[in-house]
Amino acid sequence: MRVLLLTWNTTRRAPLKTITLILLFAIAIVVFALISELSRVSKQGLDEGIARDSGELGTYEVAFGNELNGDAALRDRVEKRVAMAVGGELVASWIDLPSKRSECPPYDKVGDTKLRVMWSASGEPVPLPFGETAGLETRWCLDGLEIPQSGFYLADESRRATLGERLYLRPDYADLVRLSDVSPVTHGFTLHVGRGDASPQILGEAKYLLAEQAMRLGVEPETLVSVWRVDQDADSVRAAAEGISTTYEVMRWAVLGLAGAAIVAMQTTTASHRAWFYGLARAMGTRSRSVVTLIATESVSIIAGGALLALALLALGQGLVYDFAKSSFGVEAHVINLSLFSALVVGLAIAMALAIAVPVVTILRRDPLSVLEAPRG
Amino acid sequence: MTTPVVELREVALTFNHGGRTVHALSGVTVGFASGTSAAIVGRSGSGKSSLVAVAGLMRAPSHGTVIIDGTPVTGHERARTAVRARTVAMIFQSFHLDPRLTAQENCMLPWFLGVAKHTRSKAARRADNLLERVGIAQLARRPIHAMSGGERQRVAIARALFSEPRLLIADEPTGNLDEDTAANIRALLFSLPTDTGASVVVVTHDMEVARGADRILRLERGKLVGRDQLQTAVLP
Repeated sequence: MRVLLLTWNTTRRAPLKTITLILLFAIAIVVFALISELSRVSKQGLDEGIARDSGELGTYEVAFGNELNGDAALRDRVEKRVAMAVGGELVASWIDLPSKRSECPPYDKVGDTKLRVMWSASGEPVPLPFGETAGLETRWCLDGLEIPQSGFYLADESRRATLGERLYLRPDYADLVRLSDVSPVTHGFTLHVGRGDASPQILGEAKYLLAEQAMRLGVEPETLVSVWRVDQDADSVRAAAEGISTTYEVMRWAVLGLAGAAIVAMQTTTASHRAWFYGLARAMGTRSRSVVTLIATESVSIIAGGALLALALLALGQGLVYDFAKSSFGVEAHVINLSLFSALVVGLAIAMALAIAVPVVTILRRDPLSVLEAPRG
Repeated sequence: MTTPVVELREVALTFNHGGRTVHALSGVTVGFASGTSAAIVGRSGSGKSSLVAVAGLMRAPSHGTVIIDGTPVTGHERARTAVRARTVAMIFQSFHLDPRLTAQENCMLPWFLGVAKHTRSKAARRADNLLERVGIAQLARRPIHAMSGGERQRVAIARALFSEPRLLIADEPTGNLDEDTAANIRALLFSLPTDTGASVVVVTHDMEVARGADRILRLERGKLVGRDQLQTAVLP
């Protein structure tokens, strides 16, 4: 408490340095918050754009050979184990029905069309927006029966890279299609791994799991399974996006780091200039702990003051930033958010630790007597 | 015989300076009793500052013993700090006052730093009383930067007295002052043993200052020399 009072008494009479450092740190935090949000918004936009154009990175489809059509339990086991082995997420299981040609317009004109029925990993039908067919009249006629438009979903441009250019059929109508054709269906599943080099691993794992069955059937394991990557090869675009994201990340931490370094340097310089004061304090019999408290109080005051001022500025300017981002980029930007707080807590803790430790070590390493008077003998 | 506040027995101080060993003090035996004053004189490099550093518990001797009130002080820094806080105060040539604080606040520095145990109001009253004793009561609220050298040294003396030290060490206290001011400060310092009962030790080059002390100790090459050294064995 006494040290706080002393710090207050000294600071209020010569406030320029403290105010300058508080302002510097507040500005750094505001810039940090703005860059963080800009980074998040940009990354989100880029990721969405890339996913729309090229599909989600590291998405694979695995198709089983027709020989396994009768063994649902084995297929189920392979799906789960492969997903676990490659550290991926099982997105969906599906059945590709034999290509069919509608007997009524407009698909009677476009020839054979692929149809897929899809279930989620939990076994429920994937909630696709059935009825939406990208503006096409998608009435189907098969053997004199009609499947209405509400039985189909055709991916629009935003999901085509992920779902492909096939018609998704509501599971209720799957039997109708199967009855119209005796050709075998193809079972398979979609897996999201998040990286583009997992095909060999997925194939290897599936072959390993199917080896026994392949032996029983007298075929090679590779005839029972095939793997392909769904997302288009957009590695250069993804790398560029990752680069932009990394640049933002470096920028935001560099801003905070530079401000922190400035405070550490300023506090250390101040402590060195005032070495006589700390030497005097120690000559008076002040414990090292009190000297540390004295230095820490000033550093903590500056950093905490800067953080509070920054939060006040961000709270005041949040509406402006939101409106600007909405009107300029069409995105919702929230400069005060949970991730900002968690990043700030880490950043401030490091800045505080250094702004205390460096001056304290600088001071305590010096001989108190030598800083009070030049040695004369 | 009075037990000295601080007694040095066969003290030696050596340190390494630029790769060679310097014998700053060697076989020094001396004591400083309450209510007395002593002046330490000697050429530059004779060991004056080393002697007060050891007597003021700022440095542990390389050899020998420092005894405070009859009890030897260990070399442990924490123990020396605790004893120093309740026994010793120092005054410096360049005052070492915080220019951002007033005279009263500078005087209260031991309280701010937790060395002196008073309530705030009691500490402020004590500072005012000490400033009155050193003759600058009217300047208590004045910031240091608006004071003359003599006034600053008076504040430094008041601050040194704040913790009621048993041993007051003044290192060239008049070195930065003009002749008249130096004479006033000298008179003030040498009146303290009688007024406060403290032992005052003044390190000086100036024989005029030294003559005001009860005794003069001369140091040469880290050793006490001459008649005065014999006097120290028999404490006043």
